[in-house]
Amino acid sequence: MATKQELREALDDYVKRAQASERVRRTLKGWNCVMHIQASDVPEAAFTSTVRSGELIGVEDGLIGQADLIIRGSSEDLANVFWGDENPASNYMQGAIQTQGSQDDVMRLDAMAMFIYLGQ
Amino acid sequence: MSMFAKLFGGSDRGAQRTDRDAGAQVGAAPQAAPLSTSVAPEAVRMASDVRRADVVVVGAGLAGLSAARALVAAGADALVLEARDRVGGRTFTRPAADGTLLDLGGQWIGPTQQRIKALADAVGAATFKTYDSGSNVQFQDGQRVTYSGAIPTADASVTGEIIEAMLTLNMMSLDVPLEAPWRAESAAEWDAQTVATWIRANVTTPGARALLELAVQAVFSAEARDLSLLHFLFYCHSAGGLRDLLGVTSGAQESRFTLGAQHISNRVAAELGERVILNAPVHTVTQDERGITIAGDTIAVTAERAIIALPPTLAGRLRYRPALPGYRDQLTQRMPMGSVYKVQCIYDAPFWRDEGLTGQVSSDSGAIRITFDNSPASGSPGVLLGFIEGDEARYWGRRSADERRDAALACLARYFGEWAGQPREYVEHSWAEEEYSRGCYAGYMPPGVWTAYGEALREPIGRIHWAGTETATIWNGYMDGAVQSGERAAAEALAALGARPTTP
Repeated sequence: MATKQELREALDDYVKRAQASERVRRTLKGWNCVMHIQASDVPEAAFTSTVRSGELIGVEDGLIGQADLIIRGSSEDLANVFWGDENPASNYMQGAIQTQGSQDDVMRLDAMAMFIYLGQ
Repeated sequence: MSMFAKLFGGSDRGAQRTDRDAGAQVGAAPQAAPLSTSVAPEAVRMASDVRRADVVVVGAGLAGLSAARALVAAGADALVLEARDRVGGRTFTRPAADGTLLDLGGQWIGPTQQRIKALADAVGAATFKTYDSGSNVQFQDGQRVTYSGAIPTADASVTGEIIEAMLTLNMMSLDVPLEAPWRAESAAEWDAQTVATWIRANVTTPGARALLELAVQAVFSAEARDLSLLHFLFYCHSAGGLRDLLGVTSGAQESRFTLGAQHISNRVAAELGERVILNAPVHTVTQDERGITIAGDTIAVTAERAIIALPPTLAGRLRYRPALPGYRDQLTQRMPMGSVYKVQCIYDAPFWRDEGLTGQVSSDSGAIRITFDNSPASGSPGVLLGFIEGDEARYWGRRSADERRDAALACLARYFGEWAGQPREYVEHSWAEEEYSRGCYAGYMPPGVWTAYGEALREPIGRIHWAGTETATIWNGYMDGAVQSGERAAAEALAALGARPTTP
């Protein structure tokens, strides 16, 4: 199990890697999305990440505003993905982490997550 | 009277015979009202078994049976004519020598396939998860590597291109209206090129190109050069995206039916009882202002409406009187079926699991390029499923069964080791050889067809309504789409009859 603080650190690092990736920037182009990230086993570990006009703004504590995309999983699975320790498209992760949102939002999130994992 | 007729107050007339040769049928069943129509006098005269119904359905696959089920639930009198000696169409479950049930046709159900799930639940068809634990095997340029996840990650530049291509295609697909793909803003541009053309123009690495083309083969059992880009995008949208199409866990291959996929059709047919008539191939469809008659060599059914639940290319092989409009016939001339051999090898145990493998392979060469673990829920015996698709199916279809088997087993030995080349039983099934399917998984659109003929796909012609997974808007080409198409065609027929559709 990961703590709220550990998950927050993983998310902050994830955002930095996303902001540094040219491919992620291309993927996010024109995208606006409010993401709520919730750890199923640590109720206080809930975060909001926002993409505005194709730019990943950052992470805030708590569930803020109306979510376009909801990402749920155990704190450990979420931390593994955000630290880049686990392939987000792995067989296990496809069952362990649930996403809820429009096809457009889910597709962009998938691509972003894979590029960050691959370090591209 | 059937359960449905009891529940919904409909008559059971579909089960009654209306043979004119009453003498031959005395005692068989009550004689119904005489035929009120004079359509197809020649066809009716030729048939020894003449019946009538509100709606006659041609084809007892999932589309036709779903249509009949919906019709009966709404109180309509339906008869289903099936050419084969079995129901299920492109789902076909047979036991191996040891009794293990093998699906020789469609077999998977994914988490977003709600219509087939509802039907399976209604008839008590249980499912289990496809084995998906461990690593997958990629065989490329003669090298074998393992990877985790839906996309091979050995070469980051290849993976990156694939992800970008998939995202681009997925985003494009959202612009294709499911009810009318030809109305997409870029329909003309997309329908003027093949998927292969798009891949060549947008993907640079040979590895990424090869994997995308393999994905096309796996989904359509056709080559990327065969398919209209517009059709590919429609298909993606219809399924929810490429991840849904290609995935095992969370995707279209997530689960299987414990008693095989055909079990669903068997159960629905059992509910419909004598309304389903097997061994009844038909050849002539005759309609006028008084009714419609579907006739074969031995049977003729006259009805108010007809639902043709066949792949479009087979629907086009029937004789219509009056002849179908040119645009409809030309559509059916242009929708070929996919080419596939489904190969299943049975071993004492799924030995690849002990090596940490899922049993899934993607390969750039060989007769079999895609495999899955197809063992039963118990995990015993071990069953490896391999697909020979597209050009490989066309090539190996002209070789002897022994040559094909040798080629298939050589592939499995390369992917999983020597053991895999020595199954205790080898089973293959070619859908192109099936007279009443002529290919699988579905009919597809080459370039130019959606924009020129798309409107003819579902548009009723007089008293004829069209069903079949090729006419579906959701999960087109899948069992789920077949059910949707049947229920939609039934609703059309009921509306024409002045009845109200009722959920079965």
